[in-house]
Amino acid sequence: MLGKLIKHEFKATARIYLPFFIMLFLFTVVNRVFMQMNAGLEYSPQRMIPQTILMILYVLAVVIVLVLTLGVTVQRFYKNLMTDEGYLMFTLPVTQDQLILSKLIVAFVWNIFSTAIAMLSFLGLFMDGKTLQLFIEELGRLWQTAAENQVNLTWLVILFGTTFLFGLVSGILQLYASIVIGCTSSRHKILLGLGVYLGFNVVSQIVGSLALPFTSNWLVTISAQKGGPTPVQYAEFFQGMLLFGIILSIVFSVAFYIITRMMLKRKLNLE
Amino acid sequence: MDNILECRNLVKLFPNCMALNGVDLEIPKGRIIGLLGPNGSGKSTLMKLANGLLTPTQGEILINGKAPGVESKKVVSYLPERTYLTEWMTVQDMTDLFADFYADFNKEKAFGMFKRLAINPKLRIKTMSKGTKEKVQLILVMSREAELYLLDEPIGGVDPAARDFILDTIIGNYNENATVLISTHLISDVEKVLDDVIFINQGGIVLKASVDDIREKQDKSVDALFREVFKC
Repeated sequence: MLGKLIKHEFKATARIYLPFFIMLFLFTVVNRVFMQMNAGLEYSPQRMIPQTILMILYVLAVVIVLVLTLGVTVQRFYKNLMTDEGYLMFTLPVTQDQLILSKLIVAFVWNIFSTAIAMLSFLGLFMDGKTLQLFIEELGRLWQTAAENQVNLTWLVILFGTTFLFGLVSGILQLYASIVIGCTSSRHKILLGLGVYLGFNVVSQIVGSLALPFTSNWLVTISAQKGGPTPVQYAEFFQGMLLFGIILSIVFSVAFYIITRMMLKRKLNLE
Repeated sequence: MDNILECRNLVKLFPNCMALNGVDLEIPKGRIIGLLGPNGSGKSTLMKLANGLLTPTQGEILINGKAPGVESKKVVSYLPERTYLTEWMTVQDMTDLFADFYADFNKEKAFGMFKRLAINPKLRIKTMSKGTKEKVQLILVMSREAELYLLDEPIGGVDPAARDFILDTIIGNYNENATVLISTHLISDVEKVLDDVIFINQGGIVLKASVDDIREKQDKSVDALFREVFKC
């Protein structure tokens, strides 16, 4: 049943996302063509004005895609579960867990997809063979320097990516938990939801500040030593921060999930 | 186990309002039952509780002896008082969705009824009138071969001619062992199809009787009895 829910959720969301992805793709291509045509030519306002306008539109398109992703994540959960459509969703022979997970998994995939597409489009706009080669060479040098200093850069990058992924899960679940609590208000759903969301942010800031002693300890240690911190010390510091971030995300994800599940199970009250 | 639906001391409290006040009820298999009561008497609340859309404040509600959950949702076909169809979908999409999730859904039956009512399956729900949407929803709900149909105001929003079609659909599409619970206040319209009636008022069961009994012993129509019991 989870598979079927995911399938239907993808169907329902793809129809919103795909046109915007296509729009971004077209803007990227048009901008790229314009830039290539103008490259190497003398400066002329007649050419620069359309190019500037196109560039502004392109940036706008990227922003829209990213905002859209947040909007759809919220809207799908709210509209499909908490409004009239919820009458169908909650009478399907599925569990609350399957409903939450299907929404979470699909939102997660689209969030990654949107981010990746925005980045690819950016690369597509400015990258050419020569720059790419230079970029790869530079990266190789960076990795080599890191390795010479006993720093495993690959591990740090993996850790960074993992932190991002866990943060994304907890971010989506934070939205869900805020929505279900917001919906307990009969008149001020959005206001309460927003308030709860900000409240969650404050809580996570406070919990996040638990890392402060660790940070200040590190600062004290390195300031006591001559010549500042070594690359290995830097790497260890970042690794510590990232691991702390991952653990926090897991703890918050579990908390938000439990809140969402409990509210859907016990306090569901569709209009 | 002869009861498809049972309530034991069922209480549902809302802020500032007692929707159900200690309801005890046994509904057997194979009956068509009218759940009749004035507005705000607790009809919809009872149906929502049976579907797990609400949780009881006290007491319990059982479908086939079990609390509402995945197992009960497999055998209960529910028509809520509002339309839950997804606006951007076509009738075909909605039908596929039902067929995908409900093992007891009969696609041929659904398409047969769409055809009879001249509803084009390619049409988007968005483009339909409220009455047509209600018909589509009823067809979807009645195309399941369920054990219990919970129909909340199935004829509230449609014209009298469509009412007859809907009632025919309801009686024509359920099997002998299934139970149909219809909530409504349009009693004279549904009276002819009912086996039993339950009168509900202010969250409590006022009367439970078979339609034959009311007609023979009291020599009244259900509609007349309702007006008597609920006289304002």
